[in-house]
Amino acid sequence: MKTVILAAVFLAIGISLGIWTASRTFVGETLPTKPFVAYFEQLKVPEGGHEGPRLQVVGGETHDFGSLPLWAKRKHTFVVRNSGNQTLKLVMGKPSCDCASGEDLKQGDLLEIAPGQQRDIVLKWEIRSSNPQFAQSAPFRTNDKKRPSLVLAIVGQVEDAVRRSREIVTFTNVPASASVIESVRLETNQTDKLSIVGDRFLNPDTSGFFEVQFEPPTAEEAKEAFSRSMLMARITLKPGLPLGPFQQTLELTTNMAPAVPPLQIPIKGNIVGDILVFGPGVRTHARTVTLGVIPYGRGATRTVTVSVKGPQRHETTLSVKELVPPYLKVQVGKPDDSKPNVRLCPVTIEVPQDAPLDNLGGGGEGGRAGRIVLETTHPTIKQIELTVFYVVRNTE
Amino acid sequence: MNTTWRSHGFSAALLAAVCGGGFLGCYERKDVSQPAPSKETRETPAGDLGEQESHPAPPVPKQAGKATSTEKAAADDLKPPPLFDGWSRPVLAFFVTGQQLGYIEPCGCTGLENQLGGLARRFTLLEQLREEKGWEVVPLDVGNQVRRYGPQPVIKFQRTSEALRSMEYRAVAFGPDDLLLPATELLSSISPPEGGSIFTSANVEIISRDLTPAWQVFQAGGKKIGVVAILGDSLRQKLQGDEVTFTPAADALKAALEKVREAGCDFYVLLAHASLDESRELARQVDALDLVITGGGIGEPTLEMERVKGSKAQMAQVGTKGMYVGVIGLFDDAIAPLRYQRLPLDSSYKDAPEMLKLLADYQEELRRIGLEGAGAREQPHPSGYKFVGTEKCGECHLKALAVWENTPHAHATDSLVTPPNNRGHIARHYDPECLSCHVTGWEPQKFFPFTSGYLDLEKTAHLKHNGCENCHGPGSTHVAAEEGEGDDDKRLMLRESMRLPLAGDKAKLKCLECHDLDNDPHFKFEEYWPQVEHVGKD
Repeated sequence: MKTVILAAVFLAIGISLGIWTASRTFVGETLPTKPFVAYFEQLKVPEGGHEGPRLQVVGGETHDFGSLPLWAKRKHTFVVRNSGNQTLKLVMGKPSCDCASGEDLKQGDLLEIAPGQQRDIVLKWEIRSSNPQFAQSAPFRTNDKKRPSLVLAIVGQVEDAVRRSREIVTFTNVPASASVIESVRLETNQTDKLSIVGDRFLNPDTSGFFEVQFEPPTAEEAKEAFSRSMLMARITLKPGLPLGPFQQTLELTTNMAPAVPPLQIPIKGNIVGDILVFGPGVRTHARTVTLGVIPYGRGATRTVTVSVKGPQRHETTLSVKELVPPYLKVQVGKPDDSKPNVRLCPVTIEVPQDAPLDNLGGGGEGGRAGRIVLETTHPTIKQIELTVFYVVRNTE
Repeated sequence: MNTTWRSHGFSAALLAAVCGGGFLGCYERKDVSQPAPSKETRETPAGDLGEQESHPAPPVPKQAGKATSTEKAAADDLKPPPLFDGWSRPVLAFFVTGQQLGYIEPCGCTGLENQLGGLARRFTLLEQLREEKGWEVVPLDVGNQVRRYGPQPVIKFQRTSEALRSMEYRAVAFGPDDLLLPATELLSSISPPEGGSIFTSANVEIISRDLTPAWQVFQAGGKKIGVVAILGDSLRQKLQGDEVTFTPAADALKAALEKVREAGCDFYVLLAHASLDESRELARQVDALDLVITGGGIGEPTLEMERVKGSKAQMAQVGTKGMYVGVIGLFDDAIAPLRYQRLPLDSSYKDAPEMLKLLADYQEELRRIGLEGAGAREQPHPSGYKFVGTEKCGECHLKALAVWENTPHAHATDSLVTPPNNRGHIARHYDPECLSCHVTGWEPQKFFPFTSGYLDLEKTAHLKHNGCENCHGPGSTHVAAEEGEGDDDKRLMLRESMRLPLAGDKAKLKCLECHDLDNDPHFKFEEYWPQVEHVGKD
């Protein structure tokens, strides 16, 4: 009997000790043993509030203004309460932007809130960003040991009369002979029937290579949009632009003009040949490959990939035509036709171990570089040339 | 007390201790980002690590309306707590970043000390954690290194990839803006010569699945870590072209995690370049994840990590523009295995020479390839007019010229040739992103020169600095009309069209083309305008 009593007493002491320890550790949190913790909290904390200053923000620390037009000015009142039994002190830090500021507070100001009291902190916000989403904040230091930092934040979306699904339309790595269509969704809440009354491509140098048509979005395209009216702009890039990067701007005038100014959609892209080279150390647009510094006597090997697009890709093969310096070794591997629209050919470049000391780093006036010429069976691209940079030197 | 009693008492006490201990052990701390002060001896903060959140500097005491007092604000209880307060040495520390969006350095237009972020400061912080604190640090990044399209962002992506490799990042996800870059350039950038790309995606295939790893498994701090990276479904519509193939995120994550789990990892991380809701949902859909790093959210990252409801995972945000780093300590602690600290990359972190060299190399590459090579090709001004230069304007507008000469606009290009800060040895006057607001005759937000706009210091010396025509428009026809070409009506019409009125916020909008939130976050039109205002011809 004594054993049972003793065990029960120790058990009770142990559980009490556990609850007490846990209540100290997890004070303020939702525990599975909430009633016990609450009971001990009640015993521990004076009726006037928690021990020390205790910060609470009534109604949340982030306010979402929703959608607002550019230049709108708004205020939000955050309510900060001290549920502790000592004075709560807050010092305002530097807001993330001057467009967000306290109405009667500025950086460095000290607030004091008596136990059980609350006060308003009003943050002002001026929308002066054309970024679609916006977030600004004001930080505070506090003397609440549990919450030494507080960040009050305001977020929102900048309302555009006409929103678009893409900031920019890109035509990337388009073969010179190809015609490609890219789409952008236009949306508005200001009318039930958005229409385009005028369109023009601003850069006259390349405007002849572009066309635009407008039509309602497909169900799939409309899935993530919730505006009153939507329209798809289908932009066609026609063949014929010269190789290299290009940029264009599409200006659209809507049926809401002149209240809504014309919308400008940047268009960028690059025209490429059917054959490209990529891989470690490669600059594709410049057709260079950098092997770096090779210690004398060790040699180096690098595998790059030649990609072949276009209707003749399956018939296109590569072979080595010329190597500078001649001691370079280059091997064309077995092509991979498993990917749609592209044939991938591995090409291994080797600077052999017995290569002499050499500087082909391309530096300085008339700097030397290596050269690899690959012959192809492609009907229009007869050969591709790669410039190779490396230095073989004694590293000891 | 006899032996039996002692034995029973010991058993009871043991049982009690187990019960009490079990009480603690069966509950995981909800808020681990601000652990209760530890009794452990805290490590001495590393020299330059300074104090937490140092950019909202400890305030100077001031009055603030009704509720303020004159008490010294610098009171001890209001000082920022030291960094990593209460942290013992973690098993390892995740160093989480992302959404750099092209900000490889703060632009410095309004003083580097006023801006956060940059690779040079990030490198320094990383080295301090590794060298001074002696922690094993595992850097991870959720992607979007760039946000623009064209040759310059390609070069920037290449340099950033080099930087991430030199900082020994272990896994890097892709953002949708990264994936807009030409796939061949992207693959060249992410493939190191020695093999083994750190760039990872379980649901984005660039040209071929075997060219990019779907996950990463590595050892750190004696633990095996598995990392899977995902691009959220909502971002699919941003992808363009046929070289990038997308798989729905949840399916790809489950498939990748299954493979990673075969490796028997101790800790599973998801790099989610996705919205906050998508990131939470992904964490709920798989039960293995311990940590989610998300590219979702806007502005600054939260002060604390979020415990994802319906999942055991905790989630950290990275913010935007690379302004913050999140450090997440992993501890052998059943109650609080993860602790989090958000660190703003302010000017208290010195510039790492390694990264300054990389920035200098980047600028040198821009110089070498020229404006055309960087994609900054001339385009006609919408008006069809040409730029004549500030000196020409000043021949008639003497007083306006005098006002302009006393403004920073008159030295705008100089501050690129020799930036007035501790990075002054790196010239920026070949960089289209800088030139667009520091010379005359460029499109300020699209980074290209108008036909007849500034090209370089020699060929177009008359278009140096932020001249009259940036606000008033190119003056060729106005000048021609004033010099006798055309009739009076045309002359008067052109005079009128050159005005920049305050009405309709036209002047304000014009200023904001350069003084935007990125480059001049503390711009106030009402304060700046009087410094540049000038009325009429003389």
